[in-house]
Amino acid sequence: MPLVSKELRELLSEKTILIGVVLMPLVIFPLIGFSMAPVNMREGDAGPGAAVLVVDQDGGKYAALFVEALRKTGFNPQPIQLQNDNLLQLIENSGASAAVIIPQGFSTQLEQKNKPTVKLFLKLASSSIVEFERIGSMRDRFYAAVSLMGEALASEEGVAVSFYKAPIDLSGEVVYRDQIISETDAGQLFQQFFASTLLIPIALTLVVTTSGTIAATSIGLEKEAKTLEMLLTYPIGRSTILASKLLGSTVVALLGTASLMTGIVFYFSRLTAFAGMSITLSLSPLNLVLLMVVLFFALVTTLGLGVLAGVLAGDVRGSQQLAGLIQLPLILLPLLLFLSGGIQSLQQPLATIILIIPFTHLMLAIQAILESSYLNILLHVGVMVAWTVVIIGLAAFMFRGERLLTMRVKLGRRKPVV
Amino acid sequence: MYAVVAEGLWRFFSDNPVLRGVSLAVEEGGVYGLIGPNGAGKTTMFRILATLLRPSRGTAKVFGKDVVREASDVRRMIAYLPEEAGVYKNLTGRGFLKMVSRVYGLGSSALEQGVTISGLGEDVDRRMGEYSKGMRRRILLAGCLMVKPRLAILDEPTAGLDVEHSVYVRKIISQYAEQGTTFIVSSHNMLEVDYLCDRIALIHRGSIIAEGKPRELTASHNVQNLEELFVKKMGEAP
Ligand SMILES: Nc1ncnc2c1ncn2[C@@H]1O[C@H](COP(=O)(O)OP(=O)(O)OP(=O)(O)O)[C@@H](O)[C@H]1O
Ligand SMILES: [Mg+2]
Repeated sequence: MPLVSKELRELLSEKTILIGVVLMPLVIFPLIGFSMAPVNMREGDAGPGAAVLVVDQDGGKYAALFVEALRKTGFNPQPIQLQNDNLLQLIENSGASAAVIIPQGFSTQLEQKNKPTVKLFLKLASSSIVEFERIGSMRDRFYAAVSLMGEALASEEGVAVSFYKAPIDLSGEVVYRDQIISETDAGQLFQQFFASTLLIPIALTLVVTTSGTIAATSIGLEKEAKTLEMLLTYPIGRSTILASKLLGSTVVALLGTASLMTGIVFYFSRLTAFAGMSITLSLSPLNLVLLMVVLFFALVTTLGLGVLAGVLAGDVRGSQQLAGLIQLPLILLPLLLFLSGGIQSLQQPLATIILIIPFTHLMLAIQAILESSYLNILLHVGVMVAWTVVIIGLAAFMFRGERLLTMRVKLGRRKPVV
Repeated sequence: MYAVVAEGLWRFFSDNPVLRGVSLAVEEGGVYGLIGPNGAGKTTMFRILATLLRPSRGTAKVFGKDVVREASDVRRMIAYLPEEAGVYKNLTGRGFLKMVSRVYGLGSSALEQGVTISGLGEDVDRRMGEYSKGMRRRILLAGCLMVKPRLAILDEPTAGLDVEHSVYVRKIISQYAEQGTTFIVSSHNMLEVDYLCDRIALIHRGSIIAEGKPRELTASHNVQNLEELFVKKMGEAP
């Protein structure tokens, strides 16, 4: 395929593609990460003065020292007594975002150079990215308090150096919706949240906007550089030309996906300080394959849409605009469905329109895969395949004959016909 | 054997008849010139021969193959240099020629041939985006001729080129014509047409209004040169 390498070279040298598809995702997520951190601090929850309920079952001098360390780290410790009532309710009812239990014998253990264990409860207000980040940073702060405590202990002699760093073990648990869940469970909660709330829209938006635009660009480039006419007289079938454009665009789209995923992973690695939280998805190999199949068809469909835009437009800008114009409603409507929480909650005409859109089925299929409901997967993949066949058929039809040269739709400014 | 036979060729763009019953026969070998004012329909004619556009009515054959029904056979025999054709800016000249040779399934000897035809020397390894108009035209022409087409369709091959590049392009065309390639070219430069073409057709508003050898045409119309012939025929035309 001599044409594919040409496609790649031209596409990757195109500024709009290079910046928009390859570089942008690498920069944007770390940027979001950095800009979000100060915002969290200002929210007050995790910032200076965040209220922490302290249940002191020890009452010794080292317990007081730890409370002091908490204060120095910027927390606002609020001593409470724990009767037989529920700590959970206390946390929920107070404005506090965390609680610690200093166990009996805390001071004695420290005197004997043993590590006491402090129980830590972190309140997760909602399963949102901001919250996960907030409790992650809060946890970091508790560790800071522990090492501050270590420094205080270090002024007393006869203690091993390694002991200073972490004189106390923190056993963390997360409070979420009136329940205590272990950190491992919280990690799973995070994974679920990550998969359903982030992965789907991101994968969808990504696949749709980038690959379609890339395919449109690759045709727009030929038109703009006036290389198309010559290309079309070479002794190769139109289907070969179309295929090499699709293949070239796919490679670039995958490059963009990789770059975006790198950006996301980089961003989320900030959160993995929170134990048990990893963004590896726990998918079975079968589901992984199914996910790839689904994404593949979505990819080919958007490539086909991009080709249509490219055929109709006159140059790079026109084809990118047109591709965007075609894709925008196709992605926004399913997203609406996704955010509104189900097809049942929508009005009849809108629901029908949304069900026709291929990308609705992309999302439904991904959801079905996460839920392992195979009949639904089959259904939605079937619809997507049908769409793919239709769109690629249409693209191939547009590539035949003289349509590539003579068809034009104009957006805005009128341009002379070639 | 005729390289090109067109019979009663019409082409409409919406309601606008751009070609009106063009009939043309181009014998194999030599250079055939298609001349006429702007908008006469030369490019449209060439695009039909190059299988890019369909005729609305009539037929066109290249070496006996119909340009519509046997388009892929035609494509294997022709090379087309479009008017104002551009280059892939991020390929080098050599990279472009390599792509062409691979598309045609040819080996490295064709590639070397192409490099020689272009006459660009070391510049052949520069990005084509950096090429001047003349250099672009030369590399594209090399791409056309290195594949040894039976028919080369060149739409205004020297338009906008300086003297040096024009002379070079004409020299290459003559050289390949002598080796047996048939050329059909268009041009607004009557000196060039006189120098290059063995036969010409004068096209005006989509119809051929004169056809023959340049010498015979000027003699029969009592004019000194092709430029005068052109002016005279335009004056006569409706
Ligand atoms: N794709 C198209 N759509 C509509 N009209 C077209 C199209 N292509 C060409 N035409 C019209 O056909 C007529 C002939 O154009 P053509 O390009 O064949 O002329 P030409 O002889 O090559 O002129 P020039 O010497 O300027 O290159 C022009 O009036 C032009 O506007
Ligand atoms: Mg022309």
